[in-house]
Amino acid sequence: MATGKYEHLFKPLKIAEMPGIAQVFKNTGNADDNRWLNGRDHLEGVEVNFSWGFYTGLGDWHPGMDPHVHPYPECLVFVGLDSDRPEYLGAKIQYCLGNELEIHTFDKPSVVIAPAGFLHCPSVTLDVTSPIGYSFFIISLGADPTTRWLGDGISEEQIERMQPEPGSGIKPPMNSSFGKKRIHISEETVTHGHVNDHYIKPLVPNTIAARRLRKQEKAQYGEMVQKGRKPGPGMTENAVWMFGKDLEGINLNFCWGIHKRPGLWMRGPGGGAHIHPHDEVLVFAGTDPSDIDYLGAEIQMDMGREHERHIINKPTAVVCPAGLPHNPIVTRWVDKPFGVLMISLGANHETTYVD
Amino acid sequence: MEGRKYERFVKPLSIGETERRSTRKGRKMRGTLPGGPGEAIRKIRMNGRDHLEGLNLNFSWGIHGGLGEWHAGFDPHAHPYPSCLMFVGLDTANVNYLGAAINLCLGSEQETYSFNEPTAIALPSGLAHGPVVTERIYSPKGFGVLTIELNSVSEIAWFGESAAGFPSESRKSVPEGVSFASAEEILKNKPVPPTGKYAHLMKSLKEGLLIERGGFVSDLAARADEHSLKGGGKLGPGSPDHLIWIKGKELGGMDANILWGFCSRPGIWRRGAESQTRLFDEVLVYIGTDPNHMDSLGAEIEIDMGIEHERYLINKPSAVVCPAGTPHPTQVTRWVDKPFAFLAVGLSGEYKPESFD
Repeated sequence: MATGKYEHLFKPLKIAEMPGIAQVFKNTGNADDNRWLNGRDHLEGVEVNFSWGFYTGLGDWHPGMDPHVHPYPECLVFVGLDSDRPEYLGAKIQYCLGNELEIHTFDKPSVVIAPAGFLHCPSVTLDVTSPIGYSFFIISLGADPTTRWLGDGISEEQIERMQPEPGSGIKPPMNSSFGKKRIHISEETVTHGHVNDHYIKPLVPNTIAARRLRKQEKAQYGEMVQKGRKPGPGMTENAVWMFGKDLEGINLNFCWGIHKRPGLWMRGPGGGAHIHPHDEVLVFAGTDPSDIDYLGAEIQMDMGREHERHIINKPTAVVCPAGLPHNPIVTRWVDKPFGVLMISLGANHETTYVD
Repeated sequence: MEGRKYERFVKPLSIGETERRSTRKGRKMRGTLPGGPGEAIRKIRMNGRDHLEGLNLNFSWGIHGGLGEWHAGFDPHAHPYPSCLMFVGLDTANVNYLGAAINLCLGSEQETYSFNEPTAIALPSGLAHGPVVTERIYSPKGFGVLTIELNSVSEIAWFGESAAGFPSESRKSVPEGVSFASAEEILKNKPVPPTGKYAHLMKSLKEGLLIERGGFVSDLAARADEHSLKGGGKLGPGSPDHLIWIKGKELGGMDANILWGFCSRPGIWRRGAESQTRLFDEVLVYIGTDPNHMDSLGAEIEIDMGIEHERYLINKPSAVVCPAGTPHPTQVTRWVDKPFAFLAVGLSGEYKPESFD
């Protein structure tokens, strides 16, 4: 099988397990369980950190701590878990955005875009209508997770909990700092305008597997949609692909979809390996909220010009550094639909096939 | 995709395309067979010596769409080695459907047996058989015929009346392995009703049904296949939708076992086993089922060869030779535009144990 030359690029999501994290957020709208990987500790230095988690709880995600800011842009993505209903979230979310503390609500799969330094949150789960809850992932364009908390309700206990253990030398999963000037969130301080509407975008299936692309849209995919290449049976038609122009111009394009069927993902001539000029992380995640470490499928993915084949059968992030040939991808079997998140650190998905 | 150590084991069926040859009276000679109206539209013949890395096997595949006698008065004929004729349908949703009615004579008595469902006929070495006559065709796609012969090249002796009259000059240009009986050797008796003497040589393929519509047809079938699913393995989504397994004891003791089936779904064929090693030579054959496009497979299958897991892609009708002891797939079907047929011929009457990695 594989020689293992590229084995280090395959990262089980479990490596980011933080025992006890569920207790930290207990009785809030935050995750029942999640995995949060970052470029610094887990992803070969790639300038990204991302999370994946399952959510069923109601309420504020970080009581008293918000709003907050990051030194990098990020996308906060709310998605449903029904593989047959890609436009069903199964929850109602309230989100606060900008210096205006503008309140927004949505109940469809959506992405919230937060440019670097942009004030955002609280995030409040108002309702959960799906019996299995929903999922959420963060895509943050920084290798070292960093947050400045500005809420005026942060307790000393919360602050202490987020500090690195003195003398341990271990960096905390999130570098937290706390603003000198705190912000109070209440019905008296928030607004209900539309200044920041454009930072929330609905996620509607739109990829090459779902429809014919217009000429200008094709340009965003590079050679992926040229020379007879087309989706294979392993591709999902429920995927949503958001490019930099959809994401307020940040250097990111991402694709999210739930896959249900075996087979090759992209058909076309040649060996099917391609490169990008940007780093990319592919995340394979299960959709069973009762077990975040269960994928429910087996996928093979080639890495390098050697087409070193790797087998993925548990939730895994695959790091594809810029210029490293990767693919094709073939789903071998599926017991339970699984999610795939492609994070590509460029505004467009510039793709060049190498064989 | 570098490294082609096992490339010689992967053979496109196009290299075995038989050519039509003109014979007297405007008849056509195809490979080793003089053609009649019931003969195959096109025929592939792969032999061990030239195409299959020296295996003691040759096989042919043809799709038949015409009514009438196949060999235009040259039958009966015989081969100096054991062989098997398999009549199979092209309805990939129903492996038990032949779509034709066939009459076949067996023995020098020319006992005539009739059948209209997929059937295997075991032919001991030297047993005269034929004429073969397609009486009816019900399927708009016609039907397929496989010949599986335990010899590295095809050899055939014709005993029909047309053989006696075949000009000596023309005999010089017939394909290798073809011979014609002398006038004294011609079998002149006419077809007669069956007495049952040769009935044991005929095997309805549905008796060997192992998988139907993606699942084992019975616990017995599952147990029969247990040997190849050990180690926690189980059928994958790319596994054949329908699969028939005929062993040597069901073919008059022929030293071969045969799998035949249809595949329509992508995915891995067997879960839980990355590779298999048989203790006998085997040929895996991937066949398109469109009678109008026999050169098209309509699917792409990935297989590994050797301990190196050297990968090959099959996207046209092909045979893969797997010598005894050579680790070979599990296969992964990447995509399917049109269901395809799968044939595996193992050169052992019994299915001997295999190993996995």
